[in-house]
Amino acid sequence: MIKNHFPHLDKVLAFFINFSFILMIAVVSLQIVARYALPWSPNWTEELARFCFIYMVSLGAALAVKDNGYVSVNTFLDRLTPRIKRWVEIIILVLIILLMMTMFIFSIPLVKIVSLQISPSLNLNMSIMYAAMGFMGFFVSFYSSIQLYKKYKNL
Amino acid sequence: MTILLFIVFLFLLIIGFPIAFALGISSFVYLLFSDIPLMVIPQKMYAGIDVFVLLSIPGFILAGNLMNASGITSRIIRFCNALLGHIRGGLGLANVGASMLFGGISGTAIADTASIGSVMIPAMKKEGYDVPFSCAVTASSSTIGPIIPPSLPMIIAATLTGLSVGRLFVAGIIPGILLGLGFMITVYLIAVKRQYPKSERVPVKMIFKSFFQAFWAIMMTLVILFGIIGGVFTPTEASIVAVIYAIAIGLWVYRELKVNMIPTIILQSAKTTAALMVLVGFANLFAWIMTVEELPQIIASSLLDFTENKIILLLMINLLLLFVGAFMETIAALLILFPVLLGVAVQVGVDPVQFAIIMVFNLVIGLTTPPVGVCLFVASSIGQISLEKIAKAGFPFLLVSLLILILVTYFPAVSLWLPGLFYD
Repeated sequence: MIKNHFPHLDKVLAFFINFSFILMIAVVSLQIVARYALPWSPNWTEELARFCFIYMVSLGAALAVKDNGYVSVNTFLDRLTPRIKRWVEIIILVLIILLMMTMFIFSIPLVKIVSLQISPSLNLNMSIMYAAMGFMGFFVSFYSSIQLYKKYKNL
Repeated sequence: MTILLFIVFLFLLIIGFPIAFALGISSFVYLLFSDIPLMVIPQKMYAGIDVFVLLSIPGFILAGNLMNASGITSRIIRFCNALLGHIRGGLGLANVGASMLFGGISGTAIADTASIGSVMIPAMKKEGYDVPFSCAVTASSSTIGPIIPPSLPMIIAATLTGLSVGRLFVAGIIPGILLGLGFMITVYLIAVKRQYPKSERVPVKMIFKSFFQAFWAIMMTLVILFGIIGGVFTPTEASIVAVIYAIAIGLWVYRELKVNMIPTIILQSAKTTAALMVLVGFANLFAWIMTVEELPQIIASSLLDFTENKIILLLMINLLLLFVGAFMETIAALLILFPVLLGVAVQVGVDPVQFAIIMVFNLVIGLTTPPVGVCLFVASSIGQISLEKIAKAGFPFLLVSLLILILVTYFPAVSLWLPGLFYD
């Protein structure tokens, strides 16, 4: 059961990611169709598409940790003995968690500041957009912590 | 302080940090030693990815993955084989041809190496080609992908500088085709020398049949291109059109795509995009710190102090980029260096569009050279031979790439003639 600690969280995130992506596709399609075939063109499509994109990226970033989706250069790592290699990987994860937790924590005051702004066409509170950065920080840290736990356990 | 930023970054990169986080953490360390509030981390991340043109990236990635799941790769390869197989070294030529067509769908070189390599490398091996040669052809020819539109690096270059994505796409067409032809000539010459096999000539009827099978893939590239050039839709809209087109072709024409496969493909594409965007976001933070330190100006003025001769300056920039490209991933290098070097190039009278092509061209060459050539890694894992052997076998192809690079660098018309035709 080491493989999947939080299958439900995976599924919830995957649902929101797919939902954002599909909504983005739908909204941009509407934008094209509206321009050529409909008498009116909604002015909010671009903003909603960007909104979907940012949430898709923020949540997708977390699941990408699980898949080792981030490009790295392993020439040096592969030359180490397995034991030292694992230690280096642990240090890498710890620093990633530190960075992403910082991003999470400092997105809170940022969200407060931008809550005074309203998005131009949807009239949404901009803090909703910026909150995605908090989600990204939190969930990337969370999934990195799971990786860290696995690495530590196998040490 | 700036030195700290770079030393930490390079150190993290070398010991194996993912590039995105190496950029983030080195910026973080810098911020800790400065009096800039840490709030800029989420702020610059947000600003880096909240750009409408970037929305075209998930679309193109998804469209490529959907086409792949629809069995497009084997159809493209079959068509290229039918067309080129009867010439000596036919499979090698078909490999290059398939990369050129596939480049019009995927936009990244790694996807190209993986999908074409997994079919072509075993096939070439079976027909008696040397394995290192087969791997080298696959890896080298896949660098055509990011030069022929649609191309993710070109989209990123456009995002960074406000250049038109359409113009960059069109500007890549001729250099991409030249590169493909150059590789084909090289394959042919080597094949003649080593007496590689050729297959039976395929009847014209069969060629047409395989063409109609691959036709829909080629159409996708054309729809994207002419849609953007003609102003029918924006690059972002074009990417979504490509997605819908790919779903339609996969479900109803090729009938290999199943509806229940689509959610998994969407999720996979979203994760690929997300990892890339984290890189874009942290690179934006890193680049912002460089601007705070006035680094772009310092680099620009020291380069210009050294020489204002356009030919020498471009040569220096090319050498620098080839070096960087050998160590760093294309998009990361582009994010950090393109805005800086573009300023220099423009000052000596290089067209920004041409310079974008020069830059992308330089960086993709690094995909097939040691120490960090991702296409080499993929090819070596498919062919089950060492990187060194592939790199050695790929040397003639490297020379061809450099030759075309010189053409692109010193003859503006190679990249600018076609966009001029369409846009001016």
